[in-house]
Amino acid sequence: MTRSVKITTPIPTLEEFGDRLGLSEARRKSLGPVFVERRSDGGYVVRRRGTTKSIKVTPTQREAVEHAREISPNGTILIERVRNTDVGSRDRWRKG
Amino acid sequence: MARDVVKIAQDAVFLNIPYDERFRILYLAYIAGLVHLGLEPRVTLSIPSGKRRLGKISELIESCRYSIHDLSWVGLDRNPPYPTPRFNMPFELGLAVEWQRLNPARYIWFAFEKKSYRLQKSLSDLNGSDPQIHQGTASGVMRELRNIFKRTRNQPTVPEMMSTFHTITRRYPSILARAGATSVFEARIFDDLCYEARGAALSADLLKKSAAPDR
Repeated sequence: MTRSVKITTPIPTLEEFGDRLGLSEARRKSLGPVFVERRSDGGYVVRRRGTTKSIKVTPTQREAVEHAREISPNGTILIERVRNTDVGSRDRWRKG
Repeated sequence: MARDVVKIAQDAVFLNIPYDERFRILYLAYIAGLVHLGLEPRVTLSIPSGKRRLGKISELIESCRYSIHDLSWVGLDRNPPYPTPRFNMPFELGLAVEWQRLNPARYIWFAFEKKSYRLQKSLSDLNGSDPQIHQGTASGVMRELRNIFKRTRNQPTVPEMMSTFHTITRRYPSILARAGATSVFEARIFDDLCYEARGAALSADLLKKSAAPDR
């Protein structure tokens, strides 16, 4: 019979996981998914998940997405939804 | 000489696999699958060769709650000076089996194989302990990891785990290029792949939540 175990430990956040691996902030900035988020002042920010610093701030979402694709051509890009639509609303994410 | 007591990481998994380019796909699958399950794979890549290596390997095993031993690599290593089988992996499994025998409440090992019934021949001492059969595929590895590690909440599906696998499969060439490395079997690359896999798993989770209808 196959043995199995129950996992009850919480799933670590990316920040916690990066800490455990001992990755520097600089290394984290080159890894992981890229997020395009709207700022409260209306601009858009590109940042890596798991880092605190933004990579670039742009006036439009299009520019931010273009920059995200530039820095992460094969990686995952998540874009914050800024409109309420049938498939999603604000504070949700879509794939770039 | 007395050894320090090793602290056990409850979600750490010692991954005992062959470091061979022909095993790369399954290596990436183990990383993606374990990390997606919220576990932390650990390997011997960061341990330098030398007289303290065996002690370090023992400490690594003892620092983990679980271990996985993929015994599907049973061929001859034809690199000079002589064609020989490699005994490191079964040896490390032996260390793990003994460690579990001494600490049944805090350590569990699992054996993985590609083909059913082959382990009964190659390592008949393990008869009675069924290995997980992954059939040499990434999805087989995911299925078997999911069979042995069961999250009480948010157990990922095989397609979700495969999505993380596909992300790191796409990303690893640029990770290698940036580090100036030529092989995925390097300690630094292993860390980067784990981190990338964690990010991919979290992204998949965010997208899944975002796709749920508003209520």
